[in-house]
Amino acid sequence: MNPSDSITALLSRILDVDPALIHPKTYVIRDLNAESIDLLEIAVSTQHDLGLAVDDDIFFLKDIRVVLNQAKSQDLEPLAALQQAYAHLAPSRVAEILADLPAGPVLQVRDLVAYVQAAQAASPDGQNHA
Amino acid sequence: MRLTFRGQTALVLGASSQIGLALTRLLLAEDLDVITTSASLAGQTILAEHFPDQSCFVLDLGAVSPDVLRPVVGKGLDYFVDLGHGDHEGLLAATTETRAEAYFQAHVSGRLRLLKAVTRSMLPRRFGRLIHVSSTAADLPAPGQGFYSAAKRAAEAFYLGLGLELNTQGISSLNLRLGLVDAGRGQRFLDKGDNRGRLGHKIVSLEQAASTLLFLLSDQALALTCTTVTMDAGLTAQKYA
Repeated sequence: MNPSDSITALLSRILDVDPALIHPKTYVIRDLNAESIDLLEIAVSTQHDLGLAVDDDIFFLKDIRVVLNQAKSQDLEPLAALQQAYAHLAPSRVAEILADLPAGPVLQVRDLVAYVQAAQAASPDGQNHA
Repeated sequence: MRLTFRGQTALVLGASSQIGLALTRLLLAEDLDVITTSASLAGQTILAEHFPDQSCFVLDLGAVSPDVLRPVVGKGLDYFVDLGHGDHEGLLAATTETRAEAYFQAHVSGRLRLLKAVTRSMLPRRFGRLIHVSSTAADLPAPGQGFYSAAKRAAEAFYLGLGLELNTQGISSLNLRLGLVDAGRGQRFLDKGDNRGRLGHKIVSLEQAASTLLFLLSDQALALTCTTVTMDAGLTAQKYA
């Protein structure tokens, strides 16, 4: 199963959502109403089902504001700081996130997929065990 | 009453202690698989001698890393008994800062790191039982036990929090505060002077401690969760010693 289908199936099961309602640009928290305990379960299931090490902070874009605050205190470009922190995301996506931040939690399904794709690409056997 | 256990695999942290050895024997008698750990190679040797057919690892809370944890929790756990205990006695106002920091790094942060891995190994199975063997010193330390007391209180809060947060995922937790146990350091204390005679019936036997832990792991005790139970033979019930 490709990463996109895997993540969709996983989200559908954990969040009890019709997979037809889950698209790459669906917001995991804003649209699917995922709570902290759901994110924990998503991380654990990704680890368990896909054999991947999951860094929750990176996977769920949890510390965006921390990254931005640090960039500000060090007089760094916010876009560059975010790109460095979230290397699995395309530069265009990072720019979207920065613009979207005031509207609420920015995490989308495609961000989870991007993480899985990057982790699989980085591992010789397609898995990246913690 | 016959105890039943819906899980299969138990991890006992600090299993080379007398309570740990006794509990492991009881768990094996219930046909559970037991993964044992000790903080030292000497302890690991003891475990390997007592339980040659079970997995045993060196696990020092001051050196918890993914590489260390992977073989310990990797196959999934159903039960976790925390007998981890760090010795650091001394007056708080006289402490060396670096020793204090290292102690809390291990017994608070390191413990949390381990608990994160343990609970995440339980979540896919939708069942887990966490038992923290705490101490009456968490509430009533003797002079010199400030670090121990602080670390135990922090650990108790972790266990209560985990039971609260993960109860919908089938994970329950309990702190068992033991008083004076006739084993290990407690036994050495009791053997000094007239301590054993003086403290009389306010002593918890090794068998009582181990069998109570076995009961608390069983299906029959799972409703005891998100709480702290004191088992001290009445030691702390009295206003004056």
